Amino acid sequence: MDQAPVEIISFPLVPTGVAGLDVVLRGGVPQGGLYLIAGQPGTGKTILGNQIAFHHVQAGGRAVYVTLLAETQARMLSHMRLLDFYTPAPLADSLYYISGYKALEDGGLRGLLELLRAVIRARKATLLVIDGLMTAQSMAESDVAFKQFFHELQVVIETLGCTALLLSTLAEIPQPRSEYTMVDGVIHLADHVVGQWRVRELEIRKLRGTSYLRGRHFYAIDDTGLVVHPRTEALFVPQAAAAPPDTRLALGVSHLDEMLLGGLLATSTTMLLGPPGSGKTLLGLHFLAEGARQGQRGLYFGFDETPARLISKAAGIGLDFARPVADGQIEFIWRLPLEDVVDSLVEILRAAVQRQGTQRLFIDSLSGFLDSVVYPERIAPLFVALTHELRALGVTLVFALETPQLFGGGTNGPSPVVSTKVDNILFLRYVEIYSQLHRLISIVKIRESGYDSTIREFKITPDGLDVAASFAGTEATLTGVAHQLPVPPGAAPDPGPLPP
Amino acid sequence: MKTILVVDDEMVLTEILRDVLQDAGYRVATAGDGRAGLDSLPTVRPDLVLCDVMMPILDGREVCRLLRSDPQYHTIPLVMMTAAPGSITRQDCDYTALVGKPFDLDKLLLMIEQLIGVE
Repeated sequence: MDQAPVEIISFPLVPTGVAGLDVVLRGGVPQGGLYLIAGQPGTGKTILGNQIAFHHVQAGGRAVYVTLLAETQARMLSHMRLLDFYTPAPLADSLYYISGYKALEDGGLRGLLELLRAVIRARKATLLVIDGLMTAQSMAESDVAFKQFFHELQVVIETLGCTALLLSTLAEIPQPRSEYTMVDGVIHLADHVVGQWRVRELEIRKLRGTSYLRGRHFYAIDDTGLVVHPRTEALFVPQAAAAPPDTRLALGVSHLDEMLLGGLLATSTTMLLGPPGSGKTLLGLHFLAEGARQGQRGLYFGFDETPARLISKAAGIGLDFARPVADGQIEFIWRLPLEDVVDSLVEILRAAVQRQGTQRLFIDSLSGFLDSVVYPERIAPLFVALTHELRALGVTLVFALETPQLFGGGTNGPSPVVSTKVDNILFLRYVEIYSQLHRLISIVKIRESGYDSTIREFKITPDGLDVAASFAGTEATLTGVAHQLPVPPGAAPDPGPLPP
Repeated sequence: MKTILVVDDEMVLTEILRDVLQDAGYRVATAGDGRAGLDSLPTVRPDLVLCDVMMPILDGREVCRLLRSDPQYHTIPLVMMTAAPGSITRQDCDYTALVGKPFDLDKLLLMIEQLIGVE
């Protein structure tokens, strides 16, 4: 024994079991620490404390939940019963609820500490939750006494191999307080208004001994308890850019594929930019259908039309989705663009891509994502993170994005940030010629490849999109107000595209 | 009943160790610093000393040296506890065993049982 090396206990991580929170915490909180969960009333602190406690005992641990609140345990548990994580099985056994108020009232902080020490030992608790820390603070003789309580509690839980969560009602903190300086970590919950949104955000303000995802992350409270949506760009891990593959993915529209020299480069990101009704969705469906024809897996992620309607629409132009959908080769995901936060949408998309092994992805339209971005300054980093991750997953992305105006000279997309980050841009437009509307398509930008820059007319036919071999005779077509080219002397007049 | 003297300036820790050791069948005396611990030896007459390294007034190294140089007490098993295991070596003093803080209480009990047994 004399020669045995000194055993130094490392602190394994204690998972919270809360969806997304363990991602933010990179696995959990180090065992044996004191962690403050702070937030205003109604932010979900008690739900979070109970959710973690129930998960902890489900995973084989033992927990004690100490309330210092006016609310009775029966009332608190009656609220927890409504949530999915609640189960009566561990109660009064591996999960034990007690009130610490009497000990606090009779013996002050010292009395409370003795109670905690005794109950942790008696219950062999590996997790302690103290709900209502403000009550203890209000009964402390001084700030120094409160700090002393923290210090001694830290010694108790560390020695007894326990981890403690302290739930405290705190507003925004103007300056460091005792709780913040004495604890090993701070999880801050906030519920506030941003424009027309009311958003809930979680932030790890401090965590000793381990790394975590910094910054604010949205969270929701639903039947499962708290669900945290880690910020997409915080999750992103930059990777060395690999040489773009030579493989090209045809869109299945013959003349357009010729203009693209065979198709889009694999793992590239392509924006289909155009006004409503210009054919973006149909072109995206062509992209997926052609992939299915070649045996590739495709995913449609949309916000506007239901899958049934889209499949019917595609059948109208000769694209059969019934069989590849039935085979799982093509999957449709449709979300109503309502209250989802963008990171929740990205999670759904990422999960689907990984589950399906998606090779071709069509997002219809990117506005569904952009409209769910609460903070506009996030658009650029979020778009970069999302597209890089999809590239790393081997996905070739095509997305639709609407231009604000149907006609006229404006050709800018709704998000200049996106336009500069995207690899390829295909521009779809209406143009008026001889009092008739025509659909035009042109390639504005292709990164790392040549392309045919001519402007072509295309039609939507029962056999799919038909891009013309050429389009001539007019100029200024991209303005939407085309005029006929002057006929050179001696040359036969070019009538331009014939009216349909 | 075997007697253990716990010497540590962390009062809460000495209280926890007292509870745990008493539950395991030992008589326990505590002291808050090295000087108080040495002064209590004639009355406590411990079978084992559990001593922190970093303490006010007289630290664990000095306690160890003085204990080992006293013919009356030099054979008492001495278990040092430290939050910085690299900070003390056998060149500093001839302790019996060294445990790092925080420690596993069950392993500590086992070690003590191996050293002095339980009555």
